[in-house]
Amino acid sequence: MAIIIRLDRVMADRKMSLNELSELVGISNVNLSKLKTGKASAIRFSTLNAICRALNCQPGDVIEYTEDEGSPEGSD
Amino acid sequence: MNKREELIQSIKKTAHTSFVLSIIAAVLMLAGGLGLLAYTVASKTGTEQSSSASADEEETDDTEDEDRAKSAGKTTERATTAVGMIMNGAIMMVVGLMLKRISESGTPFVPLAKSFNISAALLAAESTVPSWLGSLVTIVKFGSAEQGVQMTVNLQFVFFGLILFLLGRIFSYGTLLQQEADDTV
Repeated sequence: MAIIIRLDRVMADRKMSLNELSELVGISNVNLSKLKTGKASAIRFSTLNAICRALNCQPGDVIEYTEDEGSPEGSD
Repeated sequence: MNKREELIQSIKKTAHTSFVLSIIAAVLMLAGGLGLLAYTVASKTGTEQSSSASADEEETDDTEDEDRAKSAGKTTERATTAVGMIMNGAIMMVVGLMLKRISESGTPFVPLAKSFNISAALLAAESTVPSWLGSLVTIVKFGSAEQGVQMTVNLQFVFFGLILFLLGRIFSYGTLLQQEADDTV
């Protein structure tokens, strides 16, 4: 998929651990880890909102789009 | 407790109670069915009974035939009921195990397609198998296919089987949605 999660980068910038962030966001460690490693297939607006509030950043800082070479438009 | 958790708790409790009840019903039906089948197979035929009861008396051919037909009819009826009970017991057992998995997981959308298919097939088979096997017992016991044989096809069981199969497909779709929901953070 062409969507990349940059959560680890933002977390490193803010010097925030996974446990700390999961407490602030209000989701489990496991789910946050899934998101960080790109294993989650979707993200709720409420989760994204909580992450942006906790890390004081924009959604674009956490999620990045890169052109997927060789894959047709609209596919993942 | 929010509405979702309330619903999950309610599903868990109901599924657990239904699991216990269905397992009890399954054991009773299987035991009853097997007992009745054993009794039917082991019991004497009408002619054996009449010949042992009145060995010295002379009986007409008409009375013998009548006794034999009556006995064959009863045998078919009993064997059909017994096979039906065994099949119902098996269905209840499969359904019970499905309910156990639901009560343990807390969501109805666990992979149960195989169990649904098995119970649907058993239910559809119940349209013919009990009466056919019942008749087979009579044929084997009486040595002829003329008396007491009733081979019927009960279409309502086929219909219920199809509905259960469709429910299985719906649950499979629900499982997919559940997986998607679980993968959403």
